[in-house]
Amino acid sequence: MKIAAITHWQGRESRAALVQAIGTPPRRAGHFAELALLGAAQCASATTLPADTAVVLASHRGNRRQAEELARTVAIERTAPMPFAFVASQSGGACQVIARHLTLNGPALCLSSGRAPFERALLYAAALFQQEEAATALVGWVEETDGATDDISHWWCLDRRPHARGTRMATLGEYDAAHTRALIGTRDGVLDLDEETARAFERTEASGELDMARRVLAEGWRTGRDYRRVRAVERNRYLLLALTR
Amino acid sequence: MTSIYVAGAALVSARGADLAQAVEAVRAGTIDHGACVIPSIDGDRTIPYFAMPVGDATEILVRTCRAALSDADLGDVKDIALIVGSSSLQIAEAERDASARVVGDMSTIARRVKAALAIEGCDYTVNTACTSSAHALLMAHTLVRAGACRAALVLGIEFANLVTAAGFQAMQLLGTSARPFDVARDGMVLGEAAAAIVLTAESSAPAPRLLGGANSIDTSSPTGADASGAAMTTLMRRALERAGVTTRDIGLIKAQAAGSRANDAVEALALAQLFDNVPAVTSLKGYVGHLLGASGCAELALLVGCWRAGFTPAAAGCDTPDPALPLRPMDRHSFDVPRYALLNTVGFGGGQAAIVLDTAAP
Repeated sequence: MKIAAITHWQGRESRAALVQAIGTPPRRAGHFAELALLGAAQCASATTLPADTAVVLASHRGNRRQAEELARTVAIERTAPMPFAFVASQSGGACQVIARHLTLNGPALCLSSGRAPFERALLYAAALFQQEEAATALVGWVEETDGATDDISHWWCLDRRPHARGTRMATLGEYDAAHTRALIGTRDGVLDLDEETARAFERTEASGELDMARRVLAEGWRTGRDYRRVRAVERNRYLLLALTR
Repeated sequence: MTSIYVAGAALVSARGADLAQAVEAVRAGTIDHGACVIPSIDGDRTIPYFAMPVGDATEILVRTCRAALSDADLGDVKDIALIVGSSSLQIAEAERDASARVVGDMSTIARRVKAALAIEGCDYTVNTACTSSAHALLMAHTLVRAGACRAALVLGIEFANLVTAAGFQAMQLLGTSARPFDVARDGMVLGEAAAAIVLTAESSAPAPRLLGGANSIDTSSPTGADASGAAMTTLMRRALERAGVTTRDIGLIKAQAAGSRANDAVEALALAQLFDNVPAVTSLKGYVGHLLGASGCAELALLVGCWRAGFTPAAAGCDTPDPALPLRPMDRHSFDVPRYALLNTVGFGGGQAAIVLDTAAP
C-alpha cells in the first residue's frame, strides 16, 4: 500500500481557504462538511482518483457544534429546526459533499474510534484493500475548533494499485508492548509518540495530536526520512505506523 | 472465502423488551404505535412514534449486548471488536442538559459499553445517518474477514429525541401511519431501538452467514434517492457480486421501504431494473418504525429471530399495494425461509448499503 499524497490544513478561516481551493463552496453543506471537503479536495488534487475510491472520514467530535445548536433550538427554545440545518448536522453527510465534488461513488463513511480515530480509519482502509473492496481511498481526520484549538482537516490518499507511486506503508497494525518496544527502538527517522506511549516506554519525545500532523508533513513526508508513529489505543495495545520512502 | 456468521442477535424495540417478544408480536401482526409531541413550525404537534419500553439508556444497551453475546455463546469477549452505529448518538442526553451540551465525543457510547462488558478489543463508532448500523455491519464483516478480530459485536442505537423528530417534521417527511409500498403511504413513522448483532468467523451452531455487501454514496440529493434508480441498482449489483451470488439466487428482499412516496417508488424501480422477476419483498418498518441509524442492525435481528421461529414476516402496513409500483410486497407471513436474502438500507447524505445473507436454510 502506497501513500500517494498527504495534506494538512489547520486554521480558523476554512471558508476562505475552501473558496481558494475549489471556487464556489457547495450550498448549505455546513461548516464541518466544508472543512472536510477543503482537505479532501486538496489531497485529491495531487493525484487522479478512480470513481470507486473509498472515503473514510475520521473525527473525535464530528459535527458536534451543529448538533448542540439544534438541541438548543429544539429542546430549550422549543422551536422547529431549519430543514437544512438538520440535514447538515449529520457528520456522515460530509462524505456525500466530498463524493459529489470529486465525482466518487465508492464506499464512504464517517467514523470515530477512541483515542486514535485517524489511525483506526487507516486500519479500516487497509482491511478494505485486503478484502479487495477498494483499491484507492481518501482517509481524513477532521476536527472543528472547540474555541481553544484550530480547525483541522488532515487527509491521506492511499493507493494499493500495482502502479501506485508514493511512500510505502511498512507497518500498520495493533500490537502488544514487546512489538511496540522493538519499533520504538529503531534509531532512524522521525519518531512520533503520544503521551501515554511515551510514559509507558519512559520516553520524552511525546508529541500532541496537532504536532503529529505537522511533523508528518514537515519531517516525515517532505524531507523523505522514515517516519514511525505509535498511539496507545487500549490497555497494553499500541497502534503502530511506519512509513518508508 | 472466510464465512462470517450471524451468531447472535438481540433487540429492544417498540415490539418488546427482547427479541423473542418482538418475534411473537410480528407473528401476531402487531403494528400499533404510540405518539410523541414535538415543536414544529406551527407550534407543538403530536406525531406517531414507535417508543420502546422505558429504561435507562446505558442499561438497555448493555442488556441488549449481553443478550446477543449470550446468544452467540462466545465465551470470553475480552478481545472482540465493538462497532456502534447510530445517527443521533448522545443527542437525547444533550436535550436533557440545561445548556444542551453533548457530553464526551463520538466514541463515548462505545467506551461506556466496553467498560460495562470488559471488552478490550478495538472499537469503532459509525455515524452515517440512517445507514449507520448497516455500515457498521459491513465494517464488522470486513474486519473479521481480514483477521483484524475474531468476532465483532455490532450495536445499532437510536433513542427518542426531539431534534430528530422535529428535523424530519420540518422536512415534511413524516406520515400519519407506517404504510411502506401502500397506495396511501404518506411518509415515515419514526421509532427507537437498541439492537445487537454478533458476527464471528466460526460458529458451532447453525447460523445465517453474512456473505458480503456493498455501501456507496448516491450523490444526487442530501435527502432522497437518485430518481432513475441507477444508484440503488448499482449498489445491489455490487453487493451480489461481492457475495458471490446472482439475482436468480435471491429469494427475499428486505426493502428499505420507509413509507416515503418518492423513495419507495425509486427502490421498487431499482429492484425491477435489477431482477428479471422481483422475488418476495418484505418490509419491517410497519412493525417497529423507521429506526434510523439502528435500522440496519434492528431489522437484521428481527429477520433472524423470525427465521429461527420458522417464518419470514409479511410486509407490515401495506394493506393495498400501490399498483404503480413494479413489485408486490408479501401480504402474509411465509413459512418457507429463503436460502438467500438481500437487505437494503438507505439514508440521508446519500448513504446506501446492501447486505446479502445465506440463511443456511435447507
